[in-house]
Amino acid sequence: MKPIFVKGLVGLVVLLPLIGILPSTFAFNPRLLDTLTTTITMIVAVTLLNHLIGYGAGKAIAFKTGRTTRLMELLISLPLFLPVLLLSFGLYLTWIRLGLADQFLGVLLVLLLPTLPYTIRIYTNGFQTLGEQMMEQMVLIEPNRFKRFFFLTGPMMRSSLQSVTLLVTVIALSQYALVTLIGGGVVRMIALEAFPLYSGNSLGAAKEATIWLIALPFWIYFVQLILFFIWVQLVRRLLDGRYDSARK
Amino acid sequence: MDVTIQHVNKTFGQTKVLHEIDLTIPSGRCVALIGPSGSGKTTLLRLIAGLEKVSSGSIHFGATEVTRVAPNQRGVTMLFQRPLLFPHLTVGQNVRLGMQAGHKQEVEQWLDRVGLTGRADAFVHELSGGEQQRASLARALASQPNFLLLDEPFSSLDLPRRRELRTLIRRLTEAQGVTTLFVTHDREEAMAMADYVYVMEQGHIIDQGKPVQLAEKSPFFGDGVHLNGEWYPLSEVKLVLRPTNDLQERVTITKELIQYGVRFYEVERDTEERLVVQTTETFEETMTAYIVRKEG
Repeated sequence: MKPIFVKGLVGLVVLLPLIGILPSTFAFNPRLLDTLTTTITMIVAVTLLNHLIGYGAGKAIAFKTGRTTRLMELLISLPLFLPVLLLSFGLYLTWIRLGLADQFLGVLLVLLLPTLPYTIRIYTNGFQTLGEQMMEQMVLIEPNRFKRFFFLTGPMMRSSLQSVTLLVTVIALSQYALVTLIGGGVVRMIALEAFPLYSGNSLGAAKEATIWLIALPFWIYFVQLILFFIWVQLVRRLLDGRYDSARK
Repeated sequence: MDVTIQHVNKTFGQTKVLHEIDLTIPSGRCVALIGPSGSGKTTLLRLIAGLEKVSSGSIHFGATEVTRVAPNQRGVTMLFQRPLLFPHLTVGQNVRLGMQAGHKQEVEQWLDRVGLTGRADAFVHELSGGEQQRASLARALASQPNFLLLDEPFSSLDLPRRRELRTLIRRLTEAQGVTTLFVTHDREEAMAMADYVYVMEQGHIIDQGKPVQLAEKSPFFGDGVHLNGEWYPLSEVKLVLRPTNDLQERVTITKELIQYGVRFYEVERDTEERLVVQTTETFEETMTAYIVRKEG
C-alpha cells in the first residue's frame, strides 16, 4: 500500500467525524467556565497520578521477574479485559460507603481504571526499549535519583511521557458514564455538558461544548511539546557548564 | 586502592552461580576475568559494581567494606558491551555528565585523549560504533573512578577497532592509575591487556596467574607464543626460514597442513608443545624454522 494512500486514509478517518461537529459560529458560554476548570484540574490530577503510579509499576514490570510481578501485571491489566463500567459499579458501592461518591477525589480515582493499564503498558515498553544496562549506566553516572530523572531518564523517556499525558487526557475527557455514575452530576466535566446537549437537540450549544473536547487535547499536546523542548534545552545548557553551581 | 573479594557466593533462586570466589585486584593494575559464556564472570563484575547483591561473602575497596554499599556510592564506572551514550546529549555533554565539575576545556582534553578531537558538539548518532565506544571510555574515565569495570566492551567492534581500543584503554588507565577489571572470553584480549588473569568455569576460579605463567601451563591459553617475554596470539605470528627480527622462537616442522588454500605447519617447540602456525613459505618436514611476529 502506498504511503500517500495510507496517510490520506488516516487523515480522512480523523477529520471526517470532525466536519459535522465543528460549529459555524462560536460564543463562549460562561456556564462552562466552572466545568472547564473542573475538567482541566481533573485531567492534570489524573495525569500526574498516572505518571506517578505508572512510572514505578512500569519499571518494575519491565525489569523484575518472578511470580508476584507477573500476578501484579495481570491484576493491573484487568480493566483491559473486564468492562470498566462493571468495575465502576463495584467501586460506586464502595465509594458510597467511604463517602467518596459525588466527590472530586472519587471521580479522580475511578478515572484511573480506564487509564492506568495503558499508562503502565506504555512505561513498561519505554523502559524495555531503554534496556536494563542503560538504566544501570545511569545509576552509576548520576547518584541522585532526582537529578538522574531530570538529566537522563526523563528526556530519554520523553515519548513515553508524552504518550501517557495525551492518552490520559483523551480517555479522561471521553468518560461520560463513569463521571456521571461516580460524580452524580455534582462533579461536572465537559463530557457531561456535551452529551445531554446532543441528545436534547441543542445542536448549536452541543457543538460549542464539543469544541473543548477537541481543543483541550491539542492544547495539552502543544504545551507539553514546549515544556519538553525547554526541559531538554535546560539540561544541555547545564551540561555545557553555563550553570555550574546548579549541578553541584 | 586494592579490591579484595572474599568467599563470595551468589545464588539466583535455586541455582548457585558463584562458588567461594576469592580474588584480589592490586591498586592501579589491570586484571582480566576470562572463561566461557555462563561461567559467572559477568555476575562477579556486577557484584563488584553493586548491581547485584552478594548472597554471602564480602567485597572490600581498600580498607572499606562495600558489600552493602549502593552502586553509585562505590566510585565505580563501568563500560558495557554497547557504548550506552545518551542520545539526547552531544558527545561533549555525555562526557561532562561523568564529571562532578569541570570546564569545557577539560571535556575537550578528554576527547583529545580518546582521539575524538573536535567532536564535542556532535550528536551520538553521528559517531561510528568505535567512536561511540571511545566517547563512552572518555566519559567513564572523566569521572576519575577508583575502579573501572569493563564488561566485554570490545565485542561489538571489528578486529582493528578492538585492538586500537584496548591499547587506548591500557594506556589511559595506566596513566590515570585506575584499577581495572575486565571480563572477556577472548584469550587474546586477556593476554594483551591484563597484568594478572583469573580463569573461571562454572562459577569457580579454576586458575590464575600472570599471562605468561598461564600461557605456559594452561591449554586454555595455548594458542599463542612468547617472543622475548611478550605473548602473541598465533594470528599475529608466522613461520619463516630465517629470523628477520629479534622476536623469534626456533621450532621444528612436524607436519604440513593446507586448509582452504592457506598453508599451515604443525611445529614442535623445545617444550615439546605442538602448535599450528600459518606461513607463506614452503618447508620440508624436520626442517628448522622460526616463529616471528608478523610485520605491521
